[in-house]
Amino acid sequence: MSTCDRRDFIRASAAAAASAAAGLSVPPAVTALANQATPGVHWDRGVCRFCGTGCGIQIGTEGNRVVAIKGDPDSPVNRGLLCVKGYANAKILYGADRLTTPLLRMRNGRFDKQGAFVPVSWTRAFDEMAAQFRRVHRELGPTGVGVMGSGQWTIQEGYAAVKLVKAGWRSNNIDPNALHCMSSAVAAFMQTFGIDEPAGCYDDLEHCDTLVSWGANMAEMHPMLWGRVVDRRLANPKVRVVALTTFTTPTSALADVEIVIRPQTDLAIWNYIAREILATDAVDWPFVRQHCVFAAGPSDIGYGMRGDEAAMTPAEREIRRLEQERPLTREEAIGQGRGRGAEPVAQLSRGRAGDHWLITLEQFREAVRPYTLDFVSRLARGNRDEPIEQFQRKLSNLAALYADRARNIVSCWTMGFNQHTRGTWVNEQAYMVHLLTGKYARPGNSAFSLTGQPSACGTTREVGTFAHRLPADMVVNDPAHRARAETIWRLPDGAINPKPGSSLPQMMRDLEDGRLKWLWVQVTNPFQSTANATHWLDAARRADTFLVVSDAYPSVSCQVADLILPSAMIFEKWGAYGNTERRTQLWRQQVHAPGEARPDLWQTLEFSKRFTLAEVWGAQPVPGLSAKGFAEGRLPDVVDAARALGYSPTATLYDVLFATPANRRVAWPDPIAAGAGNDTVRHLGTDWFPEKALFEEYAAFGRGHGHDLAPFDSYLAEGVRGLRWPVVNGQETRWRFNEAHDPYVRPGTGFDFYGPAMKTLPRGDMRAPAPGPLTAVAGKAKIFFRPYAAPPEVPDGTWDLWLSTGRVLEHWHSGTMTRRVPELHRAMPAALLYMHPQDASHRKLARHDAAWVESRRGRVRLRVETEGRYTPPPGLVYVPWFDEGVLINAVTLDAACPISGQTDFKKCAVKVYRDQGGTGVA
Amino acid sequence: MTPSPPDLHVAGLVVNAAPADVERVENLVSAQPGFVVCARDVSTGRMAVTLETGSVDEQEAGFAWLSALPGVRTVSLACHHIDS
Repeated sequence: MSTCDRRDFIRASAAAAASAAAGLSVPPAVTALANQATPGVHWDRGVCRFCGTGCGIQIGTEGNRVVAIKGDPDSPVNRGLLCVKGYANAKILYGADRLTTPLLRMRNGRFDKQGAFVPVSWTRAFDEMAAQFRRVHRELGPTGVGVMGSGQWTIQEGYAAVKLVKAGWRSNNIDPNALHCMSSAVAAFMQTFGIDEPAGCYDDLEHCDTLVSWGANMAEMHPMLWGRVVDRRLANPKVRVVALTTFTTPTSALADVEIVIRPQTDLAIWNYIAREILATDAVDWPFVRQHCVFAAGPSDIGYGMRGDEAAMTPAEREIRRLEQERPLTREEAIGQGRGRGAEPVAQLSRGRAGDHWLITLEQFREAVRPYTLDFVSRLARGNRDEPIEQFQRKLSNLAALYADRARNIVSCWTMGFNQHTRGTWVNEQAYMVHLLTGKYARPGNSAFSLTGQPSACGTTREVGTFAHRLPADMVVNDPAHRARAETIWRLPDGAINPKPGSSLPQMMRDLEDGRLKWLWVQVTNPFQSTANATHWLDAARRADTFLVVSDAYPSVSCQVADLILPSAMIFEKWGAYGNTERRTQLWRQQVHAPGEARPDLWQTLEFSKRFTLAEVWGAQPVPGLSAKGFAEGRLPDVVDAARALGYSPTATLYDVLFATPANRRVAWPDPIAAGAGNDTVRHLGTDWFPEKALFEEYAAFGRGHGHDLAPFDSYLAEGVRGLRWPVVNGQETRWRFNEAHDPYVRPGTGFDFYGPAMKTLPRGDMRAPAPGPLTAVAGKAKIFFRPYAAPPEVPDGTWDLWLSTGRVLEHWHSGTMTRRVPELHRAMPAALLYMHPQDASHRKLARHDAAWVESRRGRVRLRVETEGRYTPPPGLVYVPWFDEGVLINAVTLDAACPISGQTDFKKCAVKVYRDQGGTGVA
Repeated sequence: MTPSPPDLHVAGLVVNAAPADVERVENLVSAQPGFVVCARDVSTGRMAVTLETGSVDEQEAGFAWLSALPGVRTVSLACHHIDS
């Protein structure tokens, strides 16, 4: 093909792809030209590696290089379109500073904590890593070591990591950064439905009449889904889109109504809506009576702040005190039925924040009664310049949209809900309203937490890479769940540690307190993304800690590491992701990683070869362990029991956990590869197919238990673009719990909330459970009453502004990949301080001036922006967190939802002042 | 950073505009160098547009210009080809 012909072809291809994605026709001649094959370019399909939407992409490779990316027109998710980040899937592979060799801190040829990074071989890297592991394991036992991961782990990578940590090392210290993303959604799903993940799917966007965005900026964070919302809105005049937010974003621009609210008052607004639904008798009584129960829990649950103050500054202790006892605000007192406020309330239920019990409809009705329009509007109005009457009309209209029986309604949310000191509650309140109105688990009716990572659902939630979980919604502190996992994994009884491990933020605190000294970070950048970061950065540099970071590019976490391992990126390995709507998608390896960079799965499997059963399956200390069948504070020796299962004490964890006889029967090469390579196999030097074998082994946990995955090969079949689980008899499930769609629903029930967890409960009143027999509520969903609760740190005379942090369109999370894409970097080169012009002028600041943002925990310097795409109301400032040069998490507060453990990155109190010439981060 | 910019960048774009603004947007886009409106549907407000530039900077500028046009609701990428 000549250059001229080739360029004609490229032009025609672009025209055809855009037209197909838009659903428009182009002249046949253009289509014919576009359909010609590109010489030398091999096309295969894959999935975008950024947000949780799960857009399908076509990957064009030429030789060992990805040369083109296009939206997959056959993907039902994105229908041939991609956002500005999506087409960067190729460019992120080729940043000039890719990590291509292991780097160890050394001096005089030996590891030295104060040494400089020196390139070493993989063997040398793993030797040091194993030696340091053994040092810490001897001193502290299994709880002294940990692994942090993320929703960017492929399913197989996450599964292998969980198995190594929980079955091999018998530590439950493994947790993903997804804890920062959607653990509040998980906790609310489990408490409300007894099972995780949404009932609905993206199809709801085309079936809804109203879409309400709660604390989300879908236009930038989930652009392809937002495009579907826009299509629905423009094609149907009766459709309404409402954006509830604490500041104006591009999502507000396309909404019919924007409601700017005061931080944390979403809790009160939901109760107002519930009150209105009851008052106007908009309740779907047959649905509620047949399928729901009412529930409540304690309100004195604290704020998830750390248990001791030893490592805190005096300023931090001012807020930490509220963890023990808090004077209620007037609004909290009214909302919680506790009188007029001001009296201190001891936070006595901190250790049992997730407890709940059944209440009656009348108790529920009484509980929401204080949430009148007048009360809620005065509490929740986010912009003091907006007339109260106008704000009240907006709230009233919002309630009417939910109450309208003729409207299908979807509520979507992201971090505004989940990153919240009452994140579990506010998720539960969304279900409260949808369940009251019967607008759930039906086409067009959904309450939907949109995830931020490509496999936050598929890997972290479904595989169970959390400190307390096992695959398929099981948990380590349930003896039956441990027994099932031990059976599938062929482990001796008692091998799995029954004590939940430390969550990701808790592992940071453990690191600071010396309870955890060996940490392996994969596919995440926690030293930039964890709130109150100065503490953890300092802890990583303590003399007796050893921090390993596997990554593709240098990051803040790499800067404080002792060993850096270079990782392969998305299309340099085989993988599988599960998106927000339960859609599991697989891809083949397309190219080789540069230099010595290798897949994370290979890293986990190869490292597992360095441990024998005798080393890690003997008796182990676990401080605080107290469980039936276990000695206090101790895991049993299971080496003899392992011998009885046919294992040699000298067998390695690789042999016992991964290269099992069953897995070795899954042979490589495999026809499903269709010519693709496999660097995991190549570097292991083996002839089995780990990505397929581990996928099938993992799938055994969910099949027959409501999480059924299809066989591995079926996801790569022609015409398949992922399947939404449960996949039963080859059929995916679009709406769970609905008899017309979900094969797990008991026939004749119509709806069946069959999730098994937390379905036997006491009865009680609004304060506490009552003594008496427990009640089984199998098949029912819970309608929770949750009161308004103020956040622990609010603006005052000194710290006089709210700080909210978040993301931007161009950059994905901590920016380690997208900041290597020149056009994305140029479009948003640095984090800015978005603030209202009034707030700026009061501080004698103008646009582009340098200013400091300071909290009780730290301060950062950055430029003021008063005209950008984000418009905060007076009293609130917004700072994106992608920029490692503006380490805003040195400022944020590590308060969390006490039920889910998810940090509230959206609310803390700061002051802003002009920079007088200083520089950098304090 | 990435290798030196290739000679030809072609992006396939889907533009979503208010139906009443489609003709005006089309006229503006068609008059802009590098842009071609390949197809449009007045009833839905959708347009298929290609943008051809010689560098990533020009492409970025074109994308930003298009996104900021009055009446344009969203601009999405369908594909991005690079030819050197």
